[in-house]
Amino acid sequence: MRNLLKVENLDAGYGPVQILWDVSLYVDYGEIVALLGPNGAGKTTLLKTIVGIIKPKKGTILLDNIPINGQPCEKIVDLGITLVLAEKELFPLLTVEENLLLGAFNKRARKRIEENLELVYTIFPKLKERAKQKAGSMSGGEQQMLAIGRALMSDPKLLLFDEPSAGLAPLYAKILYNSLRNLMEMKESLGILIVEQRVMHVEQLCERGYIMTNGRIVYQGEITASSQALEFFRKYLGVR
Amino acid sequence: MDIISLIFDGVILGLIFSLIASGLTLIYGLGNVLNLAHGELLVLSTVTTAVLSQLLGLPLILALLLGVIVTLLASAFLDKILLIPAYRLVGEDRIILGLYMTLALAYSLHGGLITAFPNAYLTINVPFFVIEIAWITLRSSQLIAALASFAILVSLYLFLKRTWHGMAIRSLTQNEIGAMLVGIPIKKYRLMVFIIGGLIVSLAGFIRSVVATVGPESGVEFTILGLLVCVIGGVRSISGTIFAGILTGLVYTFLIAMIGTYLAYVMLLVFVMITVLVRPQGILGERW
Amino acid sequence: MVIEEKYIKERSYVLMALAILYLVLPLVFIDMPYVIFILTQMNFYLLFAFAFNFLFGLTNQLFLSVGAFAGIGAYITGILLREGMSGPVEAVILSTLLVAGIGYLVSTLSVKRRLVVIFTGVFTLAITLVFTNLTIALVTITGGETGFRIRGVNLWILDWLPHNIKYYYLSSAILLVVTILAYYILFYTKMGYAYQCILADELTAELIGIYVQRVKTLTGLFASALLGLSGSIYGLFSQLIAPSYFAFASVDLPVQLIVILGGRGTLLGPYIGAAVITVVNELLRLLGPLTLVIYGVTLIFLLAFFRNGIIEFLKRNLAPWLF
Repeated sequence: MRNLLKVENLDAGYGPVQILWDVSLYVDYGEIVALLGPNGAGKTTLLKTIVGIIKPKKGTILLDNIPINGQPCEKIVDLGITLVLAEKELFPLLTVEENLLLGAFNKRARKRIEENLELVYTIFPKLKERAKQKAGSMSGGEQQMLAIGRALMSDPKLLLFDEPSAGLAPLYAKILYNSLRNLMEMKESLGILIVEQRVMHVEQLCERGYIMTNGRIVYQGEITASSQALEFFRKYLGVR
Repeated sequence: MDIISLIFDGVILGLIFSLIASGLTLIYGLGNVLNLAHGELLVLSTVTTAVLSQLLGLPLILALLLGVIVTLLASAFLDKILLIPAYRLVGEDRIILGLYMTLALAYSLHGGLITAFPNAYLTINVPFFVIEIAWITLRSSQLIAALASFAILVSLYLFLKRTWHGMAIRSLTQNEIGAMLVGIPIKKYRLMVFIIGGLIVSLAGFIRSVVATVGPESGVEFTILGLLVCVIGGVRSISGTIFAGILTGLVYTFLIAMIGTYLAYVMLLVFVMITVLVRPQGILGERW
Repeated sequence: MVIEEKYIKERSYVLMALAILYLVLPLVFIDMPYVIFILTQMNFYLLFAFAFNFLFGLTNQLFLSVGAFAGIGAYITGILLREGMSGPVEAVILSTLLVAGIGYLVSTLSVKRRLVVIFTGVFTLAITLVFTNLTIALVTITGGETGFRIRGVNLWILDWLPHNIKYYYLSSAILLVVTILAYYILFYTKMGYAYQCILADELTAELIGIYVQRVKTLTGLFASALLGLSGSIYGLFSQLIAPSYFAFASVDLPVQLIVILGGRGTLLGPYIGAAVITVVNELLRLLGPLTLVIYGVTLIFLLAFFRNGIIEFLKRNLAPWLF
């Protein structure tokens, strides 16, 4: 069986400090998968390793059955994985439109730049309004929209989100999750891996998920209100 | 008229400042390296050209081309080899080490050039003619220098604003991580920026030698002036530096005419010191 | 209270050996006045290097105006003496205070405006350039590019000694006092502890309650005072006060080489660095501008492989008690 993303026995870290220990997970085409866990569990490190910012020490990462571990970040983006970090990492002195256009930098995405721009403006009409505004002058919620829009412009096969609702007012978070749901309906083979700290956010969005602590996967399975996951969280982590 | 002539000289000087400083800003903004060897790269070109055309009798065009190539090779050497230890560090550590590495290279080049080629002065003589519009008199050298620098700066501006490479470079100066996430290869563009900087600064040297002789010892002076303009325009702001260069050239030329070279230089320095304290992002504010 | 108990014995021995060495050295070369001259010259550069080391090595303040500050001290003293406006002691004290004040101001501005290292560097570089240009331009006061001479300065007790030896012992005395003082502060006081914290991580130091601002500005004050003091006495020693003696290439560059070669932030580093640089300098004096090439290439290699200097290297591999 072919998964969109398959991570097997991954070890990774920063220099001599190892963060990830024997991590394995998978994401299927058309799936939104949750990755949960407390602060410092290594979730962000895992995302950065998948996209190539960090080179793994051991293990394999397969995209569409193609091994991508060890490849440079720009190659992995070109192959179809895009990461959106919690800090958004926008280009503050460039306009909204320039930020979006840069999202399509990789060769593959450039071919579909006009239709993707249409798509982004459809999902986030606010961005179209503010197309000529400097990205640094927008509010937190708008910047988050722009970050996601920019990610969409890269014509991704797999989207990685690192705590997309962090710092967002609940209303914006709701809009965000609705847009993601719309997106999944529009692009059937797209896969999404969402990192969040709380089950509450993702239980409406994801059916399946993983829980990480101390650099290891400690749970995989259903993520719903009545599932074992919540029990697990409450018992071992003391988190809701 | 005296004032008009001063204005032209000021604008031309300013354009040359912009050319030198924009390379510095690009390299600092992208690589986090303050290239204190920038002025030496300029002199490297002019000395090469002077030696090849005067000593070896090569045709000027060929000598100019080889001059540029030598500087481009030196720029590539800077990025790919000399700065390797600096690129292993991040943030302030990188800035400091990069600063010292390029400073060390600058001293080596300076010493080497003035020892090996003490008489390598470059003056490019353009066919002489004079243009008179109303009461304004322009010499051909002034006109050519102005048009050439203007053309280069406009090309640079358009390159940065309208092309994919240019946008990638601008994005890298604003957010390196963001650029990575979007698939922009940092090392490739870092080399490109060093090469572009080297190209522009060697052309600046040639343009300068059209209006005034450039000697092998001038490297330090060009570096410092470029650095000062960089700070005035905002050390990370390319468009700010381009505009600041022209402004500085104008004001500086007028000051020299009014209070003499030394005092004008002192005033320029004091102005830079005030800018550093009061408006470190550059007098034109926060811009790309 | 002692911060680091471990190596007190070895370190005290080193300090005593240093003091004895300095005391005895000129007697060895008593009939080679040129060597004494070189040694004295080295002492002054050591003092400049110490100041730079405190500023840059300990508190990360990149003052590219070492030569200029020393020069201001020298010029003030020189001019006061030339115009007969004061005796040598008062002149030196005044110079020291003035330069201390300027340094304190620069430090304070830099800290208050939160200038990053590079801007402090640009700022102080501008000061150096202003100094060089003004001393050349204001010919009537400063004698322009050729400078002016100072002769016959009365130093009471030491006066029966030949000129070079006089200034040798004077500079050595200041050097040893500074070294011992710095040693005491770094290893026996809370201030020293603060320095080591700031060196490791400035932000964390601030967060645990160290008044980083105050440490920096005080360092600026005292390091500049040292520069003013040594600069003015250097002027008396050279007997000629000219812009070229205090230019960036004459003072700042060798001083930076000394500190980086020896070891940023160490106390013994500048001693080793100065010895090496002086020897190299003398060997290269014949080569003219080629000296610059050798300096440049040497600096490149040092920075590439021995970024932390000789002392650090030795400390790591041979003698952990070095400081």
